[in-house]
Parts: sequence; C-alpha cells; structure tokens
Amino acid sequence: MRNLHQQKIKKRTILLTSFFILWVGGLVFRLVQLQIFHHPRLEDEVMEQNQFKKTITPKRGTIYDLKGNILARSLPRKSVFYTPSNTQTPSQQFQKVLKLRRILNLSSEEVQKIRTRIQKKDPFIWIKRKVTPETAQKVKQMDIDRIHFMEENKRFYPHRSLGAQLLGRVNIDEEGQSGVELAYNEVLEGEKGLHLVLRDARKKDYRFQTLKQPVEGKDLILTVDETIQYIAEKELEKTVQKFKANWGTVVVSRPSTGEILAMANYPRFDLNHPPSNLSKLLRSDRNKAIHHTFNPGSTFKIITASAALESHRVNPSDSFDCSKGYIRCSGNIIRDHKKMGILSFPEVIIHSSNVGAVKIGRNTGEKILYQTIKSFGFGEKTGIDLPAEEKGIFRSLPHWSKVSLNYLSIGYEISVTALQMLQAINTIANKGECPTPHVLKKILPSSEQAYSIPSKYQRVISENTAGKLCNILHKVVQKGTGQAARIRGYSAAGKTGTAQKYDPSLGTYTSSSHTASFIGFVPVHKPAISMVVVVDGPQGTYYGGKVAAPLFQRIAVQVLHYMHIPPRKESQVFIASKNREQPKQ
Amino acid sequence: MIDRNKLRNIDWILIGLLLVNSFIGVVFIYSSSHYLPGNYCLKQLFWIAIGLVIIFLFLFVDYHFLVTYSVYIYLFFMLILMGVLLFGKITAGTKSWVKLPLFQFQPSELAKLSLILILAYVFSRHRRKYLSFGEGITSGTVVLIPVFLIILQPDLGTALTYIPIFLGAIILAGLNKKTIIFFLIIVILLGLLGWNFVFKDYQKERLTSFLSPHQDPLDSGYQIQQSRIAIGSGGFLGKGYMKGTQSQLRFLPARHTDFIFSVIGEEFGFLGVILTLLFYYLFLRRMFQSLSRSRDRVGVYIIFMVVIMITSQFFINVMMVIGLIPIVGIPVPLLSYGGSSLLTNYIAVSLILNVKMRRFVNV
Repeated sequence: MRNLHQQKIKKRTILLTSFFILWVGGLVFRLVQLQIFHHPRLEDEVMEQNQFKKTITPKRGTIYDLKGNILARSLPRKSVFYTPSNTQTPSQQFQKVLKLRRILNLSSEEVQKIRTRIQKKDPFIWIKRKVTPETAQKVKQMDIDRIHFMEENKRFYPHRSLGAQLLGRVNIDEEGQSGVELAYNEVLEGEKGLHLVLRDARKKDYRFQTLKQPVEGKDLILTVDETIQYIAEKELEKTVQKFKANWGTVVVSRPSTGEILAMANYPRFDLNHPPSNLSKLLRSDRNKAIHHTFNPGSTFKIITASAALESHRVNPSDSFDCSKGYIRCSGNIIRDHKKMGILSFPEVIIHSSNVGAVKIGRNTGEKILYQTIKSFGFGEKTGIDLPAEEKGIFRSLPHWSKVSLNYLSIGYEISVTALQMLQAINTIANKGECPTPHVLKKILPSSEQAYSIPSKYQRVISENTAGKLCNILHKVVQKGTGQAARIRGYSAAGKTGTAQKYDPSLGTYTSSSHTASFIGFVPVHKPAISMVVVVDGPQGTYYGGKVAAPLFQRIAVQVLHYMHIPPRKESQVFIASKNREQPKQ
Repeated sequence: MIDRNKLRNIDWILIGLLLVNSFIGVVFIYSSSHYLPGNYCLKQLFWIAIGLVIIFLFLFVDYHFLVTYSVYIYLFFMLILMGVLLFGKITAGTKSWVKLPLFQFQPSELAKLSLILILAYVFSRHRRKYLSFGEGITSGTVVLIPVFLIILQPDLGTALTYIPIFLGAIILAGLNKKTIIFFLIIVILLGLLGWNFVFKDYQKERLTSFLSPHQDPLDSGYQIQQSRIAIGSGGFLGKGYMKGTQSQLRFLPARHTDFIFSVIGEEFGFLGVILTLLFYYLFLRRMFQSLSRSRDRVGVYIIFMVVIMITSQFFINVMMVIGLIPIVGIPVPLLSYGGSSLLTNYIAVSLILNVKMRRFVNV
C-alpha cells in the first residue's frame, strides 16, 4: 500500500516536472529565437523606429554680375505641409485643409492633388511651398491642427527677365535647370548636409548627430555686365518688334579675352514667374545664341577670305569679274542682288558679292577652305561654360558634293550658332587668336589668390591675315553693306549677312524668310567689344545691313559710352558734330 | 502566541529569495521610469518595506485562525469588489481601484488571498480520494463569483489569474489527476500550436480584442510588436543598464509594470533573462519544497495554491511579453511595479512561512 502510494507520488512528480521542463523549455526556445536568431532583424526595426536621416540643404550661392550687382539670389521662405492623423477621416481632414485655400490661393489642381494624397494616407503632404512670410504668419494664426512649416529657400531674380535664358531657371527644389544655374549647379548648391535624428515614441526629436556638415553654396561673379545686358536686350526688343521678327539674339563680348559681356534673347520671360506650361517653358528657355543653328550666309565670307589670304591662293590685289551678276555651278545658279562689275578682293567682301566670293572660294580650293572652316571651330562646340551648346552641322570633306565649295564660300551648306560667328569675328579682332568664350569671372569666396577663369587662346590665322581682314571689315562699315553700323567717333568693323532660311517643308531655301545678321567689333585697332546680332524672320526689310547692322550700331554706341572708351580716330569729327548740334538745343 | 522556537523555524532563505527578486524588480523599475514623474522606484521600495512588516505581522496569526474565518474574509472582499463596481471611478478604462485618503489599491489582487483561504477551508475537510460533486459545485461557485465581478470591471487579465488557483486546488483534491495533467498539456500545446501556426492574423486579433476588450486591436498589436522588438534587439548580452532604446524612448508600453520583463530582455539580453529566470526558479522551488514541511492538509492546500498562483502569473506574463500568448494585462509578481500586487504576493509568501513555522506545533 505504502509502496503504491510512493509510486503514485513518484509518477506525479515526474509528470509535474516534465510539464514544468516543457514549459520552461518553450520559453527558452522562444527567447533564443527572439534574442539570437531574430536579433539582427529586430535591431533593424529599432533603427527604423527611432532614427531617420534628414538632409540639410544649404543656401544656394548668389550670382553677381561683373560689377557686383545681384542677378540671382536665394532668400528664406516658409513651406506649408500637412501630416495626416489616423483618428480623423480623410474627408474631415480635407475639409480642415481646405480652410487654407483662400489664404494660400490654391488652384483647383493643387486642391485635387492634396485630396488624393490625403486619401492615400501619405504621411507628408505639401500644401504650398515657399509662401511669403506674411502669408505664413496668416496660416500660423489660423492654428490648424497638424499644419507645419518648413524653412526653405526661394530663388529670386531682382531684374526678373534680364538675362533670363543666360541665367537659367531652378526648379522648386532649387536645382539648376538651365543656363548658368545648371552649368554651375554644383558650385552654387554647395554640399548637402546629413543629420541623423533620433526620435522617441512621441515623435519628439531628442538628439541630432551631424553625419555630414552642409557646405554653403559658393557665389559666382559673371563676366556679364548688367548694364550692357540691359542695353542689348532693350535694343534687341525694339528691333525685333520693329521688323516683326520671330526672335533675335545678341551676344556682346570682349574679344581680347572671350568674356561674354551680354547675351540677350528676345522674347524673354520672367524668371520669377516662368511659364507654367512645360512646352512653352522649354521653348522660352532656349538660349538662341547657343541653342539655335542657322545658315550664316554672307557673314561667313570672312572665313572664305581668311582661307584665301592665309593660303596665299588669292592676292589682295587680285580682282574678280562679277559683271554678269551670277555664276553657274553644276546646273545651279548663284546670284548677286545686283550686277557689280569687276571687283577687287576687298571689294568682294565690302559689297558682299556672292559671285566674287564663289570665285575666291574656287581659287582657294576645297581642302584649304575645309581646313580653315575647321580651324575656326565650326561644327564643334565653342566650349562656352553654358549647358547644351549646339555645335551646328559642318560636313567633313569626303561628304562634300560638287557644289559644296561654292555654297560654303557664301555661307550655305553649313549651320552655325550665333556664338560660333562671334568666335570668328573675335579671331579677326584678336589678331588671329581665338579666345574661348566664357561667362564665369570668379567663384567666391576666393582663396588667397583670386580665382578667376584664365582665358584660353587658339591660333586660327596669322596676325597678318587678321590685320588685312580688319581693314577690309572696317571698310565694310565705312562704305560697304555695313554702313548702318557706323559709329560716330569710333572705327567699327564688321560684316553683314542675309541668309535665306531653309524650309524643311519645301526642301529648299525660301526667299520669303530670312536670317539677318551682323558680326563686328569696335574700335578696329584696339577692339573693346565685339558683337554678333541675329534676327530671325524680319518682315519687310530683311537685309542684315538694314536690320542687324543698325542694331549693332545702337548697342555699340551705348556700350562704348558706358565703358568710357574714348573716341579716337575720328575724335575731331565727333567734337565738330557736337558743336554743330549745340545750336539746335 | 509566538515563541523562540517558532521564530527559529522561519524560512529566512525564502524571505531572502523573495527580497532578491523584489530588488531585481526595483532595479528595472528604476531603469524604466527614472525619467517619469512619480518616483516609482522609491514607492516600490516603500511597498517592499511595508510588505516585510506585514509578513511578520501575519506570522503572529495562526493560519488555522485565518482559514476558520475565511468565509468572513471572503465575504468582506466580495463586498468590496461589488462596491468597486457600484461606486468606483473609471481609471484607465476599468473600475478596479479603491481610493483611500493616502493611497489606492486594487481589491482584485488582495481578494486572491481570500480565495486561497476559503478554498483551503473547503478542501481541508475533503478526505476522499476524488473530488465530490458537492465540493466541486461549492468551490466552483466560490471562484466564479470574484472572477465574474472582476470581469465586469473589466479586468480580464486579473480575473484569469484566479483560474490557476482553482485548478491547483482541484488537482490537489484529486480529480483523476492523470487526466487533468494530460488535459492541461493538450490544451496548452494546442493553444501554442494554434497561436503560432493555425490561426490567421485577423482571428488572433479577434482573440486578442476578446481577451482584453478595453484595448483596441491595433493597440495590443503595437504592444506585442514593441515588446518583441525590445527583447529581440537586446540580443545575447543586451544594450546595457538604462541604455535600452525601446524602453528609454518610451516605445515600449507599460514598461515598469506589465512589460518589465521586456526591459530586462532589452537591457541585459538573453543572459540577463536566463539569470532572472534562474533566481525566480530558486524562489519558486523553495516555496514548492515547503509542501513537505506542512503539518496538515490545510497547510498543503495553502502552500500549493500560493505556489500555483505566483508561478502561473509569472509564466503567463513571460509568455505574453515574448509573444507566445495574447496580451492580457497582468503584472509579474515581485518584479513589476505596483503596491497591491506586491502586498498580495508578500502576504501569500507570508502564509507559506506561517505554515512552515508551525509545522512542529501541536494544536
């Protein structure tokens, strides 16, 4: 009996013990699972819960003109955002946010966007970005639950449309999209900082750890002069409107260094309020001086002349019979606008005879013309520090047809940018050496040695050839096609161009639409400024000498005065004329 | 009343183990609440001191006396429980607190002791091999009344802790013991398997919200998740004392009460948890061993029910925080912050000491 009882107790003890061991075993198994095997994953979950990385965007650099005037700068603005709650229904929350509609002037599109994002339970919803401090204050006073503000910067352009295509735009996140803003985006934006933010269960940040210090964006000083830019834009606008042209562009540079003093486009747009329509925006955004290519026409004759003089295939004293007024080339006919008789070499350029230029080209030969065009840099980018520069179309020698030599001599069968033409005239103005064009003068803050962009030069033609061309181009202005570019008191040089535009729908050049252009520099002997003027599709009068040359003259005279370039060669004429004008006053 | 002989028979080791575990609790209560207003750590120390005094006060009263008057004690507590339901104010979603001028307490905790005493009273007369029908009905009723009253508060967690006490008593009384144990194992195994492999999430959620109706399902999901993360991220060695991010940053709910075990798991890791389990095991074993030191059946019942009460509550809490069973809000005996719970367990241990101390005395 006693034995039986003991056995029972033993059995019970074993049962209870094994039950207990099973229980504890289960616990330990689970603990091992959690703390050993799931440990890495759960540790990640901890990280996810209580820390996140926050990028700190530094202030974007300011863009100054040559004289230190502000062209673009960033100012602090407040952005309004909303963080949805779990306790309210989407429609309740939407009604709440809708109270801001009038103050923030939200469009129905914006409201629609906010509504869908609230419905999607987005944890972070922009209501309106970069509002004025007064508006932000009003929103704050409304004291709406879960509406927050974020400090951001907004780009401002004090001159609104001035140099719009040159300066370029930034997007809402202040990233450069075009122009200087894009070209020097990395310099301007600085380096984004990274903060590690530790956050407790109530979503209160309790510790910052700087992983990476933000580096402020650097400021830029451009070679562009606000005043010259203004003069160029104002005059360009007048011309384009006067001739009801499609558009126009003017680039003013310093030929000795390649520094761009102004790069004007018309039509312009207000950088502070760029067109909201994307295709319209992209169209108005185009900097025609570097993004548009065209057949240069007669201005290109300076290249033909350079090739002829440089190779000595043609002597300056040679004369060319242009009395027929046309020249046949493989079934095509190239005409002058009038019969000009027998012309000397300079006269061909001065009066811009197509027949004469073709004859000069033929005397020079394909190979030399090709090499000269090549060494002037056509068909290649000029290397200006602006984004998306076009290089134009210039076919290589093996692809030339029988007539190519003839047409190239007068500036067809090639497409160029306005800037490339400026480069050509700069080469001649700069004694045969071509400086690389650039818009950046300096990056601030500069280290001990002021950092400026050194000018790069490339020898294109000899000084001798350049000198001869200078004289010829001076005469173009004095008594040739470019007389409208004459500036009282200064000796200007230049070349006009009137090109028929190629009509892709007709597959041929049309006589109804033209590109009027002028390239030139002043003063001839110590050029202070050079300029390219291109007006697309002027109505009525379309000659370069009538449309582009006067524009050159008007801009140049104001710029010369602004730059305090004293009139020299014709100084007495200048004084005399002044005296003559006095009685009228 | 009490003589030197009896004093010599006090189980000082058990008191030592009781205090060791209490202080482990204090250490982690400090870690998980030092940044909160309310001085929980000092309050807990105060309750430990009070508890010790009460342990010795209760030693003066022979447990036979308590058992004899257990009916009145039981009735007294049932009246309080009803009073709480009728006049109590809702705190944290339940009416479980009695507010006195100086402090407040949960009668549902202390009422467990009255249940132990009255069950001991009922079963001590039991002489047969198996439980009689009448005893079954009586003891069942005695348990179900407080359980029902506490469920109405509603505080399902505490109500559930009454069930193991009853089960312990009927096991001891003899209800074809093999069947019971077999049945228990089957139930628990099925439960665990079901929870981890069979039930779909939404079913679990239903179960969770059924078991703790005052918490919304999302909230209980959050608690389990946070507890899992806290324990799991502690790893083998833990993050170090007061360096547990989940508890210090308040991700973990009820850190100093129901989820104190998660804090241990996070700050001292697997090793810390095993050590804590070890100390707790020594404490529980010491009490369990006291069974053989009882002079009579009443003592055996008291000791057994106390051990079952503390053990079950401990293991249910641990299984809860490591995600093996749904969240039911019950504290860990001795470790968790809370005066009512601490006093209840101290008095319960005092009852064991009481029984052991009087084993040689002839009545």
